[in-house]
Amino acid sequence: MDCKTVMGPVPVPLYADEPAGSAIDFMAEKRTGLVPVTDRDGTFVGLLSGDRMMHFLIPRAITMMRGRKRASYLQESAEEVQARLDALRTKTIADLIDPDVKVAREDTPLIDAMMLISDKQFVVPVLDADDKLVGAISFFTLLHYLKDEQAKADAGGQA
Amino acid sequence: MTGHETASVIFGLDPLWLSTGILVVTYAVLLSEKIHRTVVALTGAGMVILSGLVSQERAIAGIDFNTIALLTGMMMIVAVIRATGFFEFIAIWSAKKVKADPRGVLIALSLVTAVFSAFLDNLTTVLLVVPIALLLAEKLEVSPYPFLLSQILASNIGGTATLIGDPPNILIGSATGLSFMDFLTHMGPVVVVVLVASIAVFHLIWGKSLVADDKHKARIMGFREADSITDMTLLVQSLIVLAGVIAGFIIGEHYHIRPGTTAMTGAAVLLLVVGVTDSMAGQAKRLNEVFSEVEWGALFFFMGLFVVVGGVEHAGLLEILGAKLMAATQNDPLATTMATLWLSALVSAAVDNIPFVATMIPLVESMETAIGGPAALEPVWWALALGACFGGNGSLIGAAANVMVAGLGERAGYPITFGRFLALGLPMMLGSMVIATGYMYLRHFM
Repeated sequence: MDCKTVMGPVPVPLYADEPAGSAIDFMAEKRTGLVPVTDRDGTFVGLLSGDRMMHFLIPRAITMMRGRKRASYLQESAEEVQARLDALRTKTIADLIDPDVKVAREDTPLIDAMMLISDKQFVVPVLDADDKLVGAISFFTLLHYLKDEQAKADAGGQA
Repeated sequence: MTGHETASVIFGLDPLWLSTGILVVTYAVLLSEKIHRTVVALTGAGMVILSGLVSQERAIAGIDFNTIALLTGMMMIVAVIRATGFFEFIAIWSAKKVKADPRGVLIALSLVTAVFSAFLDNLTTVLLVVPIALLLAEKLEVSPYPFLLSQILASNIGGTATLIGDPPNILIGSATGLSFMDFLTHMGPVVVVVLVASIAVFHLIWGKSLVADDKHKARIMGFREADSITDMTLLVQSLIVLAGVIAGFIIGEHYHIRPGTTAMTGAAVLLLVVGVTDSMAGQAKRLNEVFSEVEWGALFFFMGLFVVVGGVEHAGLLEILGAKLMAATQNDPLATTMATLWLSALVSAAVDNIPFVATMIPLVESMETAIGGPAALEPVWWALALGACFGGNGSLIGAAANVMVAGLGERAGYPITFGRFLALGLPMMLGSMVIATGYMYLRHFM
């Protein structure tokens, strides 16, 4: 079983050269925490995720403190967080994406995509031979696929 | 040819030339920074043994395990302490003590870094203090560059003060038997003078530009430094053990207990104390966390380096170079001391001071008879330590802490170019060397 068999359609991707502000508005409006990003020609360039955005909303110096899990000594106001969000809006989406995201090809065995998902990458983009984004696999995609297959098997059995 | 020949050197090559070739190639590749320094040192060590310059047994015997144990033990202790949030607490507390005035914060953080660097390793110190300095600069809305640059200089100056403050001192202390108190009493005074002078220069250069309004200062004053402490019990236990280890360095010399034993025992006691109530799985988890913080690459770099230097030492190269240096200075202790001081500083500004000092140690040892015995040689050891440590401020690649701060600055969006650092670091280094020269003369030759 390969990824092409299981993958689901991708949501409308964002373009890497768009302002980050449009991505922030898009994610807020759709209440989505994960959006694929492509070039204008459809070539996949990375994922924009809520946790990645959150990383940029934390003071940069705090993210450099290795192994620290909290910074509650920092008594920040909403105004200070808003200032960082406003600063983010002036960047491009390309500045914020995770470029090191793991991808699968259409003929990649499903088990390899499952292992990527189990390694804390919630969605695995599926690319064709030209690096164009053609689908994605997540835990839910797999559940839907298995449910459909079960339904088909049940229908076949009843016939 | 020397009297140190080994019987089975590969292809019957001259051991002197072969060992020199391996040392030069090792240095050249280290300088190129194309291959990780640990890989370079271990490859050089492998060549020394495989070529028959020294046997494996002799190579292992040449590794200074007192240095390795001291570094490892301190890394383990620091790994436990850093998890408590102590460093953040001190940095924020000191910033608030100066009412968050940017000039005061700059001076306070320089002092914090200098003191921590004296008693812990420089890399850990800057790794923990620099992010806080960047955070404070961001909140005060002032340029972070004065903070980044002063942190580099303060860490190298502070690290000069003690036996454990900087790797060159650890190497020299281990090779000579000079004690923790010897270092503190010989290096401490000049470090204080250089640090005070450096802070005055910081104030002169940046004092006028570091200004923040009350609104921005209020952000810092609103920090709750006590919240940075994650585990008060662990902090108390760690600080007690650290104090015990430092006391052990001071007292141990009277009982022939080497610093490596003290540091490793301290690390073991700390793990015992903090883990005694944990389950076996909990103890294993903590042990693995602590081991993951130990810089194994640095330790293996040292081991490889000891073997490479052991190769040239065994072949007699360093004896020859030592004799040439003594001839150049006409066996005069003052001239030899000053030559060593400035040579160490200039070389350490250009290359990593660790391999340089590792090579210089046997060279200096070889000069003992010619210079007039151990007492006459002692100023040369202090000159080597002062030059190597202060020299680290001469360029951005002069010490590992410099490179670390530059990396942190770049990640935060404030890159430090080689030229930018050189424009400040080199004059500061030369100034500190002038002070060190005067100090050495007054202390040892008046």
